[in-house]
Amino acid sequence: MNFLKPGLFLTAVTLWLWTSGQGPVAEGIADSLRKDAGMVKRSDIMEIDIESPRKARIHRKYVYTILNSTGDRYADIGTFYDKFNDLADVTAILYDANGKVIKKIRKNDMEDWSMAGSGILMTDSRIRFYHFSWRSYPYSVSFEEEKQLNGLFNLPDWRPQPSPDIAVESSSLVIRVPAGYPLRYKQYHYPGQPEMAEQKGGTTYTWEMHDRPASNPEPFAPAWFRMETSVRLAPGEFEEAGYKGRLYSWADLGKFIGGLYRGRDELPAEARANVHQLTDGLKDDKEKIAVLYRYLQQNTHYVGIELGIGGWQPFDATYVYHKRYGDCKALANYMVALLKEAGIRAWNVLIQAGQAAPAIDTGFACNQFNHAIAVAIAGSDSIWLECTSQLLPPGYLGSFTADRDALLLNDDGGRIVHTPVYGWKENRFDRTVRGTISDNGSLQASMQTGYRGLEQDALQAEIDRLPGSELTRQR
Amino acid sequence: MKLPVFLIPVFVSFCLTCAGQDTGPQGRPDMDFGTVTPSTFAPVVYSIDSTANAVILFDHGEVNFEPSYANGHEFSYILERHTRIRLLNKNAFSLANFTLSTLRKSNMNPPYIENFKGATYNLEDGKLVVTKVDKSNIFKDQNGEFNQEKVVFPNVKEGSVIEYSIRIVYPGAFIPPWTFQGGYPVLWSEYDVTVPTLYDYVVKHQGYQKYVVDSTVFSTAEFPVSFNGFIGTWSGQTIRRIWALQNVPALERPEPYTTTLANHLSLISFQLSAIRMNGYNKTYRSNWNELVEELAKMDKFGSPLADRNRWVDDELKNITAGLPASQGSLAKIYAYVRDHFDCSNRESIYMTRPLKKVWEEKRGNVADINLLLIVLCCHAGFEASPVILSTRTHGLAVDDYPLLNDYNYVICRVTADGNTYLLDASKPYLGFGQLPEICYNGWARVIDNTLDKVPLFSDSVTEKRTTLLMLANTDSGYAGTYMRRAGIFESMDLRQRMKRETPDQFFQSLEKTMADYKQMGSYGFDSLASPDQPVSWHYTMKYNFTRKTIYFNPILHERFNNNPFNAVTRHYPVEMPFCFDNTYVLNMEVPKGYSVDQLPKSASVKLEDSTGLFTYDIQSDGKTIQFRTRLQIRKAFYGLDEYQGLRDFFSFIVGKEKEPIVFKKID
Repeated sequence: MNFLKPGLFLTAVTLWLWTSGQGPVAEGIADSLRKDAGMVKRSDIMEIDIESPRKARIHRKYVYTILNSTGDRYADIGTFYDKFNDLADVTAILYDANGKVIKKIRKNDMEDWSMAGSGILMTDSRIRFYHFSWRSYPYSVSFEEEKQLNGLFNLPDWRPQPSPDIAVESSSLVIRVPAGYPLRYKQYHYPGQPEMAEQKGGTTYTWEMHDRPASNPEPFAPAWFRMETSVRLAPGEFEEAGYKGRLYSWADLGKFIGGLYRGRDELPAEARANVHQLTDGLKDDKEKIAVLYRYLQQNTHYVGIELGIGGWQPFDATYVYHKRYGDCKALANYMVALLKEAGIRAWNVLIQAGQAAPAIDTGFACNQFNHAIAVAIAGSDSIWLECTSQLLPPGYLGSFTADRDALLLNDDGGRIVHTPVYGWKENRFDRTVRGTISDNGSLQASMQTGYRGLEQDALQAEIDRLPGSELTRQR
Repeated sequence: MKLPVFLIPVFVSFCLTCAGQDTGPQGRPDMDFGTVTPSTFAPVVYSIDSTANAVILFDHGEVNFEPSYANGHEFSYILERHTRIRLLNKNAFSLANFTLSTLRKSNMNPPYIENFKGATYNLEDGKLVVTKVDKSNIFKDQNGEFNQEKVVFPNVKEGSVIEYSIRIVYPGAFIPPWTFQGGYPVLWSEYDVTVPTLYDYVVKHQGYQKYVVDSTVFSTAEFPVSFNGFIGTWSGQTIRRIWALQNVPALERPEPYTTTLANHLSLISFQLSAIRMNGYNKTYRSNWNELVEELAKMDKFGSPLADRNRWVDDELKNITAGLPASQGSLAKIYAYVRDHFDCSNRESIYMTRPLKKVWEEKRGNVADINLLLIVLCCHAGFEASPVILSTRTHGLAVDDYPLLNDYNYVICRVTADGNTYLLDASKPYLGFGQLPEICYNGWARVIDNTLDKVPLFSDSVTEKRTTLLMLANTDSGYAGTYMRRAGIFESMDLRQRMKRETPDQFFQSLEKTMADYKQMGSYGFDSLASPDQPVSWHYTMKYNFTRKTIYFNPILHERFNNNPFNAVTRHYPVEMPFCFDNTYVLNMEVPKGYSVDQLPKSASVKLEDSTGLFTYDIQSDGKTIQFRTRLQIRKAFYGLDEYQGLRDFFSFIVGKEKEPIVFKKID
């Protein structure tokens, strides 16, 4: 074991320099770390103290030196908080090239914004934000915050080098867990194992990165998040807003979420009557699903409201029936309730949505989801249903959620399933042009174009959204 | 800005001796809350616009004054707004959830929301079903400086009617503006405002619609007032003005070359111009003289400029390095401020912090930065004054009626070596003497004793672009160079763009558009980092011609592929962002092994008033081809009656620019 890690030494030196009144200066940065870098992390320590399944404390402190204008965005100070993450205090300081303090701010000097916007109407996820600006390079910013986690369902990731234009002098993650509490973690591109130290009352895990230069990714290189060093954390036992759970497997995650959903699929009598009126006369399950999906689409619409545990617990089916709105999980839950009433087997599915979203890591059970859909069985076919769309046909998901692993919530908790793949056979673009070229060189032609599968997503959205006159004008 | 009105809340008397009618005009709907009946649902489609996703059945605003409101002891206006909307299809469901924002705290008493009432109506089996908006549908939030109330109407489906009424209190003498026109058609929009003649207002009307109601009713009132220590009782006339528009079409989608729809929509706005009563008279901004005096005294505008500011002299020494006052030293001062200060987005003519703080933190808004520049210039021995203007997206300021709220941007006018310059140091991509495009929006006013007007119109500036393409038969094949020198505004755009992408990415995307027989060689930008110079970009290329027939279009990278004025009808006048003058020159040798089979004919076309000119000159002696095309637009504003001419003009250009030179392989 190395006693004198160079990075730790540097951190100690810089810390000593600050306490002696001098702010961070760029002189100490090695040339190898300046190359290709917009910003250099002088030090970045995240300490997580897990006190119980219900409580953890996070202390983060970093110092960044910004070398040129490409690194300006790293001077922005932002920190998230919500009902489960209390922000106790924040201190941030801006230093000029000589280490002189230009500005120092505390939590109350920062702007306070809701994370609502683009689809989410109301949420208690919030951000404290401050924009430091300085135009003479290099300059530095330091940041220190103390957060209390009231529930371990979501633990932060450690990403020492979140972008290739960042060079890292030193970054570390230190986690303390009480005795007997197993820490679940997964490392990506991290050489070796974390350092573990037993102390009375618990164990400390440490991951570190030192002297990692910035890089210039080659064209068509994989997305940076696939190449960067990171550590993902998840709890074993945890508690969130009074609901207890464990997270050792996908089934465990499913059981916890299932517990939040329990009892919320009761339909009022009028709704049940509607279901039977619509489907009792139909013989084919596929038809029943289609009819009920259309019923959902015509009678509800999406409004994003996520508050507290309501970020995970859906509005109950009765609420959605009466209000005619809900977010993705409320609408999916309502859909499943309608289907079950018609005697169809159906389940809620948690998924990471987005056309370019990264695939979930099925080898590590933890929360990797941002959306909920539903799936129903008709004979030997699975019919997938995007419940926030009032325009998609039943059984078609589109690029938003196609071709990826997801978590199906069932009576045993949950299991990983894979959504339909739309491949080159399904995604067709056919265009036929029939024309005549006359003697003077002009062409008179008619053109017919067919779009299938994912090819038609964009065009169909436009057709649904715009009136005919506008469509013609745009074409 | 706090108005000096303090009220002793005692006794108010109203005397209604009406002079005027109150009969409803034809078409005026019943605008009481809850008067929705099954017949409201009758229309499946509305004749005003059969493709509308929603129709505003009515939008009613009523403003009344309260001499002393609630516990505020302050004269206030109360706006009651009541709106009823028919949602025809799901595309308009976003109207059923909205956010009401009010400023949380500030030096002035901001307006606040007092009451919100809402309901959704549906027709089910011929019966009217009412679902009220209750507490569970309203979410309170805070964002930055704003308090927000987010409302979600329940039980909404296609065909539903929603209505809401909201009461907003405006402490002070500010009357909120009213917009008659928006993104959806409105069947009836009415604004009903009652003011005591104690206050005089300048009323600005905008839009092309004619009022169907425009009435005035007089009455009297009496109440105690207090201004700056003067205490008295005001008694006099009140005026009630009602304006209404019927069948207002939705704002048309922005058409190409419209500056901003905000300049065209129907609206009314008010600005206080005087307080008048016996014993106390105060005029506000009725003319520029008074306005300039007022601004000069403000601690957020003129008074910091008049301070000693001794610290400036020391800082100046470092910047000008002892140079005497000249254009050279002025340019140094300007460049220093432009390059070392960070400007926030908030546009305003008022400073946000003391000058010294602006200097220390090296940041501020447009006013902070440009007023600081003026102070530096004055201390360096130059004559410098602020100039205020309204930017393009902010709407048009009417110079004849100075309304301070109409102005949102400050620049500097500085004289050096006998020349006058307009400077804006708030954007890193501006060169000395250059202003951003958004500033060219009408008359700007110099805030000093001269009271000068500065014309900053779209046609005050001409954007000049020059492009040169040369191609020849060389030892290594048919090759050449392309060079474009951008105009002032295109240079600004390119500088901003090159902060987000790299030159490599720029040229790579250009290369993707090239035919397979064309290959790009070396490439580069010039003067990207020198804002005083225009930006040029250039690249070398090689062509590998193998086919029997080559269709070569002589114009690269700047053809009008489509007529920007394609639409048969136009709703708004055409507003070019600036005049322009684009010249394109091509000198080429005929490719070896080929001969000219077809050469486009030279041609020219111009607009009726000659403000638009397009020339296309091409000639060839069989071995070389010289080509030159020039497009000049010398006027920035074209009225609706000139649209057809403009359309034909561009139609000709599009057609002409499509014509290729045809080369045929020599056997």
